Amino acid sequence: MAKVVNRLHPDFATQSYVIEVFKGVALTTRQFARNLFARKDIVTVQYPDDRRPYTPRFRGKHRLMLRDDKSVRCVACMLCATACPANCITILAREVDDPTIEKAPSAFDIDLLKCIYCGFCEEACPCDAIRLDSGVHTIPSYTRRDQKAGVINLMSLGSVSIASQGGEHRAHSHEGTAHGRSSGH
Amino acid sequence: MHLVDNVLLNIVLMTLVKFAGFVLAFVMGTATVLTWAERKYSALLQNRIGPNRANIGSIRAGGLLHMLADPIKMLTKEDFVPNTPNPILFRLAPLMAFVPALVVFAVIPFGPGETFQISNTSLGILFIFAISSLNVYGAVIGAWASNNKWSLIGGLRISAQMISYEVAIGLSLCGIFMIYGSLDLQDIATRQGELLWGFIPAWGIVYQPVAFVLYLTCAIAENKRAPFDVGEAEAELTAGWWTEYSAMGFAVFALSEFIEIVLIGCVGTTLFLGGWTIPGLHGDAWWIVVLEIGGFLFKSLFLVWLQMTLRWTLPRFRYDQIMRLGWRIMLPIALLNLVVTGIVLTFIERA
Amino acid sequence: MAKVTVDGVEVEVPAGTSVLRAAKQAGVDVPVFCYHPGLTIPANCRMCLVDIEKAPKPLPACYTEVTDGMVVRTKSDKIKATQAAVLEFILLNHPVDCPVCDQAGECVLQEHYITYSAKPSRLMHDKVGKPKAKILGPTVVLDAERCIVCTRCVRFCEEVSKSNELTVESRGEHSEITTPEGVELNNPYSLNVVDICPVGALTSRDFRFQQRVWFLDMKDSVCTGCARGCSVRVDSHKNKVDRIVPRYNPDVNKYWMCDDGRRSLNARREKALTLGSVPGPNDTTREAPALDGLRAIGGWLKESHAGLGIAISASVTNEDAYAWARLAKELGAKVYLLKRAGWQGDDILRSADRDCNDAGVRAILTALTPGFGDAAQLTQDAATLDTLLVLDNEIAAEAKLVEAISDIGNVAVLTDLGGKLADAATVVVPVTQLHAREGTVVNVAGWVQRLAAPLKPSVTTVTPTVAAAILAHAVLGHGEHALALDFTEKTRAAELFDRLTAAVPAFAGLSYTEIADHGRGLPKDGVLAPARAHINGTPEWEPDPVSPTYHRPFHLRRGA
Repeated sequence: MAKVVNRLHPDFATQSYVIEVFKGVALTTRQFARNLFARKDIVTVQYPDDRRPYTPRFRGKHRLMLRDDKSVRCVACMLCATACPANCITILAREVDDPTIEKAPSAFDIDLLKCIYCGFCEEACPCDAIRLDSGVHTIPSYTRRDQKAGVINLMSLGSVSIASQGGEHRAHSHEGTAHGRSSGH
Repeated sequence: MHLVDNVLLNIVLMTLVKFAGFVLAFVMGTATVLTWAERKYSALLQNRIGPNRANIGSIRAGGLLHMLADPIKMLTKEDFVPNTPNPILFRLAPLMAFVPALVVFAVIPFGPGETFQISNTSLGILFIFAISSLNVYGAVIGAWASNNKWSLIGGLRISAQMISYEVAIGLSLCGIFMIYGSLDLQDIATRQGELLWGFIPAWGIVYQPVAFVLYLTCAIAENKRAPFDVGEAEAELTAGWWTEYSAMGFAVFALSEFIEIVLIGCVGTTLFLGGWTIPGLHGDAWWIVVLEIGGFLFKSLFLVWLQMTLRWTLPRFRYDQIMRLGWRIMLPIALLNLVVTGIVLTFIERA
Repeated sequence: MAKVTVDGVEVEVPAGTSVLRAAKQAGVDVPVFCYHPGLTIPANCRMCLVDIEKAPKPLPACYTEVTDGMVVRTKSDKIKATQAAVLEFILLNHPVDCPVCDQAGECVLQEHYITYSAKPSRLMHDKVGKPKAKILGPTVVLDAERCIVCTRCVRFCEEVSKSNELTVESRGEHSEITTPEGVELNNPYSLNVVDICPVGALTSRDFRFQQRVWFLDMKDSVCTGCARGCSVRVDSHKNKVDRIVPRYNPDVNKYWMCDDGRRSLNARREKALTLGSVPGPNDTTREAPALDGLRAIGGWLKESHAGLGIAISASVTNEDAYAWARLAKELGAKVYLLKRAGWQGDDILRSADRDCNDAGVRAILTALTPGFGDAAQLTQDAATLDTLLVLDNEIAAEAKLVEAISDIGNVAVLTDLGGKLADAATVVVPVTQLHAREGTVVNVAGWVQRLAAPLKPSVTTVTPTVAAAILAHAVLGHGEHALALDFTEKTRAAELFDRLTAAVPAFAGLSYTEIADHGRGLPKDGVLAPARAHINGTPEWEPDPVSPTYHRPFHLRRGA
């Protein structure tokens, strides 16, 4: 059903525009006077000085979470790189001597210029290793290279996560080479 | 010989002093302040804060330092010349817009007598029309030399618009000349110092209210400012006729626009708001002269404020609306105003 | 013959066929872990249990032979419950560390779990811990926790490589694949156990953690390591070959290939040549792209191509050999066929002859040249030659040969890998690397297969065919070379193969498209063997239903 639009039928005085112009001038002048003496109508946020509070769900610059011993939680499974619609995550894996960890990233680069901050990487991560909750707006830089956030950079924002790798946490003391890994599937 | 030398020297010196005092101090000063004031004023109209970041140390002075920062920025930016077959015209265009706007102030009487007018000529208002209509060349040649479609379309729009409104603005002022019987601006200003029926100031706006509205409208259109800024029309034409201008080229264009705002204020004051005269105040005492000059500047600034407020109040007209307004409304009303003025004057003379 | 009904579909199969094959013929996939068509059947994983009418309980489809009138159900509620229960047992102690597991993405356990179980674990206690990342030998790493003890690897070492390195230790949930004390898994075929492992227990030390499998682009190609020419799949990502795995081909390599074939890519990656060298001013040499080198060679040949020798490696493709044979004929050059140094062959796959296209190049040179010599002949003739062009230096550069060659005034080597011969040459022209060239090769048994080009060629290199066309252009002049050679720089491998089949009787009747990914045999006595019927429908063709080489994993395709 079509929407009925009520057309305006201005009278001659309105159509002549002369009076309307002065009405408009009066309105803007009134607003000017109000804003000159009181700032309550002013909507500008003085960005670098004042900031709007971010919502808890704000997705800012990525950070890589750490284990208790401050090593990176990431196991280089590349699920974030797989989920990434912008194809901005590059991970190279390396082998770790500790058989309970086994795999860790040797390079973890995020091209922040390509990143669209969708948070898919965060959702894909099985280890709670990557998060976008740093609250840091991407910082502008003078070169493109500076927008490549490497693993050190990302870890510097990180903090210790208490989630256990691969699922619920249980104390584990088993003889042999396996320690502390337990998981449901 | 000695005497002649002295007289010549006197004239040159006096002209320089008047130029410095009126054009450099007042006109250029106002135009410079306008670069900041327009942004700040529009911001406050629109519930924003406006420019306030320029600073020396912790002194920001409410953004006043932008008047200083902007020229520094404009002077140090890359002065870009597009790939155009007419680089010379491209360079020349800002000056062609700037010089006429400044020259016109030569004939504005900003105080009583020849002392307070750079050049007294009996053709005053015609001189203004003649010179300020050269303004269109600067914009159109700049637009043409930019070798850019947006610039060209903007240039075409403003050339048509400025020429159209030239007709209406000329006709609207004819009534004033008929009433005061003179083209000499000093003469017209002095005549407005009289009182009508003993209490109403004999200002042009009293005799010719319709002409004043026509003048203000057409003058704003001549100056290509909102609501008549279809030549710039950033929503459609990027920045219209000055798209390609950067650095000082742009700055000179922008400055000439602000100077023209002051010019419209000064001419409007002289013709409609009694010029430098203050109703009921006559005499040669120095404080009266100071008051009169102050009055002139105040009235001019009032018109400047009015222009600014109109610019930030009214939305832009469409191009066809502008042309229709100019030719089918402004021009007939100006003609009608002229005819009615003539008839009334004839009756008054017969009586 | 026996008539069997599988899930309502009636098929007729020879007596003695397993229920699993009969089901396959009926178009029904039965899940398996331990069954491998190239190995014996232990029926120990119990994943293929099916319901057979009149049998009191489910029977393993892989080991049960059909009988006439048998009625099999693979999707009954009972079987579904059985499959879920089997998976629950298999997964009981599985670490589920898929994020760090290389098999993830091509893991049969993952897929069977999603398809047949998808239930959470009910285990209340700790899982049994076993060794992780245990190095079994120079090529293979074991993660015992992930192992489901299907014993495919043990059987492979017993039955195929016959080296008996692997065994199962302990019992029940403590069962563990291991090597006997003092023995390591080290045989020429050891990496096959990685392919046949249905889970991520056995992983390749080369490929480990290099790339997630779903990123890999897969191209069917041929191994050029020896004259066997195993059918392989080349997996690459972002213009880099990450691994080479065998591809089932009943006429060549069955399910297997040797470790050296797979690991050849490491050497190729390290030694790949993108810039050659040409003489610079004052007896210096400078690095140069292919066109500079060809310009220098063209200069020599334009001056004089009398006393020209062309040495062709027996490892080049048929198309390249054809192009160079045409060039040699046109320039009146003497032709030599050079071989690679041989290695220890065996009766499994490895051929003592390491040249992947010896048969093809020989046939082409025989047909197109008046006669050709070998390396010894070249050493002898070196004194009489003014110019020598060597195509591909993957050849035995014996000291005697190198010395003889260094007496020749102008020596040019066209190669994709640096080597001794290239070091001795005046001009080195970089040739497009192997995995960026298309073409065909003939294996030791006369089987013609196609090479694929998963990589993009480097812009500084040319293919041998293009090099031949450019040289002919330099010597014969524009336009003439196309008439003389019947190909130009723009002729593709497929077109060149068609010309070759017309010109060389040994290839008569073959066509590039019909070779496809399976290959065709060379005609015997002028008669082509009939093409093998394609994969679906014939019991004769039975790839491993589990191995990723048949079972193509999910592949993530995204913009280049």
